[in-house]
Amino acid sequence: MDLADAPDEARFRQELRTWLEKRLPELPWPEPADLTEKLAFWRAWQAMLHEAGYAGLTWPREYGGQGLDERMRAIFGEECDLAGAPERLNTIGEDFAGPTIAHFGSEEQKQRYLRPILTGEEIWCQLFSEPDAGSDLASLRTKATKVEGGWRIQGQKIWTSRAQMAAAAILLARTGGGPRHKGITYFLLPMDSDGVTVRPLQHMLGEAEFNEVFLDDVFLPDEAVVGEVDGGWKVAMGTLSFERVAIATGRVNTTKAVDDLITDIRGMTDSSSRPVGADPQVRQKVADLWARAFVHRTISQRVISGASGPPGPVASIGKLYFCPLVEDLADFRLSLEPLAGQFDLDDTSEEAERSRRWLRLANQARGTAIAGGSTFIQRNIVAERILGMPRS
Amino acid sequence: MRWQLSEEQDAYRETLAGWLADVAPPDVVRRWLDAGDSLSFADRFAGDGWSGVGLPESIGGQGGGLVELALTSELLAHACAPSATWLATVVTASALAAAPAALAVGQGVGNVAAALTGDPLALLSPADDIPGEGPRLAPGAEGRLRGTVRRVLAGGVATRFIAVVDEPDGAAALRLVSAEGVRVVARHLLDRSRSVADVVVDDEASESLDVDASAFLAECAARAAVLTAADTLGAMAKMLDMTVAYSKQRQQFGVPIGSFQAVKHAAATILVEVEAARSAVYYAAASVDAAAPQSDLHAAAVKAQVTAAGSRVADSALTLHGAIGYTWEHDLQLFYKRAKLNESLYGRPAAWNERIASALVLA
Repeated sequence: MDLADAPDEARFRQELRTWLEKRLPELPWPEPADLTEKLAFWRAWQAMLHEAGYAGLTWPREYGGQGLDERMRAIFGEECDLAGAPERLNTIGEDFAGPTIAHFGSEEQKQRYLRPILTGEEIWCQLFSEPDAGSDLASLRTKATKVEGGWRIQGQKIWTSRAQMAAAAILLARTGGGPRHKGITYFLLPMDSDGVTVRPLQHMLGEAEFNEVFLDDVFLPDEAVVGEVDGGWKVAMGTLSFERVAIATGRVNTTKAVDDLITDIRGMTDSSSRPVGADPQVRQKVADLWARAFVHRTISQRVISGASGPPGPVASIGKLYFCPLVEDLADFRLSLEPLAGQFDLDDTSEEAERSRRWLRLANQARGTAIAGGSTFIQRNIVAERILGMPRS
Repeated sequence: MRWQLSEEQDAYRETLAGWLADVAPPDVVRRWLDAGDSLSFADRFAGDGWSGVGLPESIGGQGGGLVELALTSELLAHACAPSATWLATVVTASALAAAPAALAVGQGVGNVAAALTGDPLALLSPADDIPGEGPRLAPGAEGRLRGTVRRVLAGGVATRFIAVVDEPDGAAALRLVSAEGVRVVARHLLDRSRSVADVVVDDEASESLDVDASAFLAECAARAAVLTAADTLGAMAKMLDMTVAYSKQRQQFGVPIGSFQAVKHAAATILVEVEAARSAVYYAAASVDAAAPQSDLHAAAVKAQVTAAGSRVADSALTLHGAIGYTWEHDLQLFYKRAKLNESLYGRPAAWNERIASALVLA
């Protein structure tokens, strides 16, 4: 157990902190809430990161990455959160597609796709889920038919975040070599290909954040295949294991969120002008959330410290610990507001605006509990694969 | 930072687990608990040289720190070994060892050294209070003490007590009392692997213990919190093992009950609690040892979170076992009771949460 930063970690943290202090104010704040406006804001930020050598921290150097390990990526996340850096828009590109291409892709694919992810030029989306293939991903039906020089893709994908702005997608389609996971191939799809139609879907707060994607006789050359034809399941499992580390270490910095909650409470009084922070129930709840955020931090650090070896049980439980914590945290903050955070996004009153960030976080936490395999399915997987309990 | 046990710590864990499998297998532990015998184990533990682990070599210990003590605590619970004597002693002895002033005057060294040879030392404070928050005794003339302290952990077996007394200026001071002159009324806990007793001190001589009382009590509190959480970690890990094994073997509706999703989800939820606890307990142990920033809050967090989780896990494991788990005959009840006691031992989660809330200066 070594709690302090190692010398290389401390040096990296200090340099980054200095850099963030200097460069963050140069962005055209405030960060827009609307996704399309946010894109330009984020691109400016990503270009600054790339120029300074902070993009692709854990990627190989020969493709524009920095060749560092997970520890530095974790420090980068902590310092960005502390400094209030912009939200990340290209998590699919940076966390899923990029590492998958770097690990399984051909030399040509690496040369073509990796650098534009780091510069912020190309956003990625993930075409895995289908209307009838959610938790049971291997039941997907989008079909790839062999033609001269490549493949013709026919099918429908759904719940695709960022498809409306993505330049490229990682795509799973059935190539028919065998049943279920034996007949699936992993492709890289340029989103401007003929036959790709993106139709927005509103999530439950009414924002068009994700999409349906229709693939109608889309042509992909043989070079678009990642790994072996019919061997896509193995590549997809690689993508999901990159995803698992990213989720276990947390999309939301819960320590920062609890600190913000505490700062808010210090300034709050109830209707009788008593400090809200003197209420015994509030004190118990905040302490509980603070302690859970501490536990979450130790889980993340354990995952990062073991990230070089095979993923142990702790990586699998990260999401199961993290999701309810973020829900409780955001819900509790909302409960301190009039009508407990029940105002719609189009209510522009000061009191509604004040807690909007927490409303979005509360909602986003529900989404995270479903995305990438719902927490219920995750429990089945944990029970069967880690505890060795019999299949149903 | 790096979250990882060292090779020495892994080796220690393995050696102690092997020793416990030999010395304290389930049938032997059951005999001790049925007979209310904690001394057989305590004597063997000290005799085989385990009691110096976690205490500095400079005072005759075997080195290591709170991480090693947490490993010990986890494994003792996993075996359900009678460990009140060890816990009460090691909390006070390691807190004394962490107070350099005490070692300088020599008195602390003597007490720690005696603890190493299996001479039990206990804080004269109710087992359900955070160390330092319990009632204090009023000092009489020439250091004579009078008063009753209820529910003292290992109160029936300790040979010396560290009493917390009121100074005239309202500050706390520490005094050493021998067990020879006090009257002890044994209490009976559901968890027979630990013991408490009411201790009646009736005009008893005591000697001053020249240690900064508030620093010592803060050390005791942090160590008690981490070690109780580690104990719960061991009990939870054992209940998970037992539950998973039972779910694979027990058949209903023609299939093992472990194939039911309801059972899988409950077991997976226990695993989350176990691995979350493991992540936090060893971090907190290292944090307290290093006197890192917020280490007292890390200790409070694991005491509140892990012991509350242990209580939930015990109930879930019981339901998953069905009626057999509800019997005296089945060993699940031993770990169930151990986890339930840990939630109250050294202060309930609400008390530790209040500490966290105060430190966060909410109002």
